[in-house]
Amino acid sequence: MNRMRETKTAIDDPGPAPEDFWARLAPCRHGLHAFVRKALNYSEDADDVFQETVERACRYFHAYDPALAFRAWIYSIASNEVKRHYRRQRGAPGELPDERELGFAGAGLTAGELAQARELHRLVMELRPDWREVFLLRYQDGFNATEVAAITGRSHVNVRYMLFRARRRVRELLGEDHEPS
Amino acid sequence: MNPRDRELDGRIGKLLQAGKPAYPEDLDRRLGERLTRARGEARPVPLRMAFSRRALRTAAAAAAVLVVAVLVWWSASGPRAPAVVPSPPAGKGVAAAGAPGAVPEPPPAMPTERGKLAPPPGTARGPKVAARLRGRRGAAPAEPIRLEFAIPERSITILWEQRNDFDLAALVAAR
Repeated sequence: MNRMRETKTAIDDPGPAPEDFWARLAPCRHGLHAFVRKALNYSEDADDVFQETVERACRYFHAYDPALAFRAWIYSIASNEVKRHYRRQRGAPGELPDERELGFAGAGLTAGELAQARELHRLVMELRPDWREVFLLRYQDGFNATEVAAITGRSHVNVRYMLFRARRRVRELLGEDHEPS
Repeated sequence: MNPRDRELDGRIGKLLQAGKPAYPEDLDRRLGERLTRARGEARPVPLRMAFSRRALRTAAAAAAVLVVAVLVWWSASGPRAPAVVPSPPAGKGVAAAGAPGAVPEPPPAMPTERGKLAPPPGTARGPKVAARLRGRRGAAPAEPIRLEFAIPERSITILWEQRNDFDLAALVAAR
């Protein structure tokens, strides 16, 4: 994490070429946009926050260490932008958008799975912003707990605890039995 | 992680990833325009300092200047005036000199080891003599101090003595 947060001066190391930025961003921009959108509860400001994320990443791309994963790096910037957005304006959780906007069409879900997906998205919207962020990074974007900890600036133990609690709620939601204690 | 949790993770991932908001078609174009505008400042520039930070820094600087000014003023005012030390009255030697009212010359100063001029022997320094003459409790001299004053014209001799068992110097005899 510390390495990820390190900033290098242009004098020490010119860093990667600016042209590389688009090449690295292109494969992950859709996922990043979806993350920002969901992390902000489908807010109308999500597009602005996404653009601010990309702009900031482009601006500080010279400080990016190519030895680290670009995807994790830009997600950490997005995480900071989401936090900044929540600090600026605290809003009540929005309404769950329709299925077309949720993007369920063409996902190949059965009727039962569709209902579960809707309930799961509703549950995610009700989570606290920091919990929602961790949950999305883990289950939607597929980062492991260590990467989630690095992206969000939390401890590994904290992330695992949050995921454990979230998983328990999801298990209740999906109607599964509780874990044997 | 047990297989049950792993299976649940897989289900959660599938259900979450099923709902992916559409990526706006014109977002890439807007993004390109925005980045083109910002291209001139692609390098990080010093961020403008927040007002609260500037105010805090200004207040700290003002406080430091104030402290320095007070210290300078205090040091420029000089040391406090030394306590007024009553000069010891002329002793018997004055009378022996035979010149009433004449002030005897002090003994020549003796150089010390450091090359400084030591005060003439017998010349009392302010605080020391003051303490002795005041006869502070517990600071009585080891041996009594005796001072005699003689006025030959009137055949008067005044004897002052500070004794160990008295706090104050006292007139012990007048002949």
